[in-house]
Amino acid sequence: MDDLCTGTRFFWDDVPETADPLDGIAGRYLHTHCPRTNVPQTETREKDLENRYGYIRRFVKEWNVDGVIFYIVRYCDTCELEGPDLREYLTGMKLPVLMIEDDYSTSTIGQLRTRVQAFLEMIA
Amino acid sequence: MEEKEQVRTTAVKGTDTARKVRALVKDIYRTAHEAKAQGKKVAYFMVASQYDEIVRAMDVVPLPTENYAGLCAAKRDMDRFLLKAEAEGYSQVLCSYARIGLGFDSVRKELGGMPENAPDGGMPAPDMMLGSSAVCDPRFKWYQAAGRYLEVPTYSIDVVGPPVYTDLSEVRDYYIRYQKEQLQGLVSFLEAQTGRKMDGERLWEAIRLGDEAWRLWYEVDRLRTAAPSPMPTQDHFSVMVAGHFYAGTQTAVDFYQGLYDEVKHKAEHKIGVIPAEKHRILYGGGLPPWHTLWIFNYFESFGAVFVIENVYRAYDPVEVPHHVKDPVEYLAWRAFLRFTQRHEKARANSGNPTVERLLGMIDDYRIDGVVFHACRSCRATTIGQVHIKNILSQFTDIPKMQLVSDMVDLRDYSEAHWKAQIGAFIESLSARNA
Repeated sequence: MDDLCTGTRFFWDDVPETADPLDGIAGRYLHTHCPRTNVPQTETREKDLENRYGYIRRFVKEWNVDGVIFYIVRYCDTCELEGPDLREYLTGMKLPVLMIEDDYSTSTIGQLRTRVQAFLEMIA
Repeated sequence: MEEKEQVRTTAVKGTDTARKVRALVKDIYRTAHEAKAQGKKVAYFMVASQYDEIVRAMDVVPLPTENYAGLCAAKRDMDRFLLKAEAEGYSQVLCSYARIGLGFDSVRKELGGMPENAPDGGMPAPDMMLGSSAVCDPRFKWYQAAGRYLEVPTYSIDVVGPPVYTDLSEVRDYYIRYQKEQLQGLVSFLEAQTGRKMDGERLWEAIRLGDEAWRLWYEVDRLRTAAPSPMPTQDHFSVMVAGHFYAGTQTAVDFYQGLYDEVKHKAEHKIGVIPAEKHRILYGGGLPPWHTLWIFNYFESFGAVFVIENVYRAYDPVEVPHHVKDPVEYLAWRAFLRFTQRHEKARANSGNPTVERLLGMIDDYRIDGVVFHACRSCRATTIGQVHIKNILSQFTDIPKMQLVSDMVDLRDYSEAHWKAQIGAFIESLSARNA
């Protein structure tokens, strides 16, 4: 399962059927799970993390996920700021997490392969 | 922890007024500590968010976290906070202002008190955090991340401006209405936090003071067209403290009046920054290298003076229509007019408002060369620099150079590399002037 801007974030949630369809479309885009979309704060940190990442918990449960690879594209600051919070949330669910930071170049592909292989061996 | 020997990072200033800024900076943090002791509300806040006057009118004491990062860099005491944030998982390419802020918050939480020998006494824990999307998106997101260390209410507002190829008359009302809603949301949030209602008259007074300070600041910069230059860019990086961290106060107005008087005197009496000004340089963009501001004096040793800059005063005064009677609506109008003031000119010429501003400066200030500063961890001020430089080259053939480092992270800076680049740049300026 994925939680990518070009994956489920883009198509998973339906547009609500509002009286004015434009309201529904606007709401759908504003509530996409992009890190740039600032979910309003809730009263405690624990509830706040649940409010922000609860949908991932549902993915984890439904797809019987054994580990999570968090791939951050360098210089996406909002994603970079999300990283430690998301790791805390996932490790709180006792899930192994591999955080990778990379750019779009192909020169690091060998390193990536080694790290992903090691992670897969760990969770196997 | 033993107090470290202070490495010299700052530049020799050109004006006496700029030398008074250090006291203003110290007062920011002293005031915040005193406010906490007196039970007043203190808020982390972001500069240039268009909400300064609202915060002042609500008697909330602003604590600028970005400024604190710059201060740590100027004191060369940033590594312990940068490294702390990185150890907690924040990337080395994440905005270094944010890294220092998050690292500082983390250390303070871990110690249960202020980090030892923190510059200017450190930042006390705030009662709330006020983010904004103005300038860049980390400023919208940073305080959410800071929730790891501070369980305090957080509120971020959206600050918007239309793209250049927009029919402004068609979109204006939508933008202003949205901006007003965002600012009104902040007012409601602050009312809930402070337990008191916004006083419209106080807000108008703060706006009057804010506008007057920025008008005087603009007038100071107009005086800087004089040759020889009466006030250099390194002074701008000090005097901006009043405009950004004291906006909406009498302190800022008095400060810029004093600066205006001094710069006017220097301009009228042809008192330059250096005795023999050979090259007039424009700081074309990018955040300042807070870790190494003396580099401006290094340029001066070759007769090159930075006479004006395109950062930290991004807009000139604007005229909000008289029919606007609501102070929050006034702020929304002012933001829209500020963000769009070069759109029309850009559409008619280069297509780029920043290029228009630079071309205007090159003309008005008789510029011989342009220097940009690419900051590795600041996308907002770095992405597009090369593009802007290229468009600029279609209109002027004066030498242009891009220096690369970071605003506060010294690991991205190489003195030897910079000096080699500067040497070559000065040679090309000299060849043109010969």
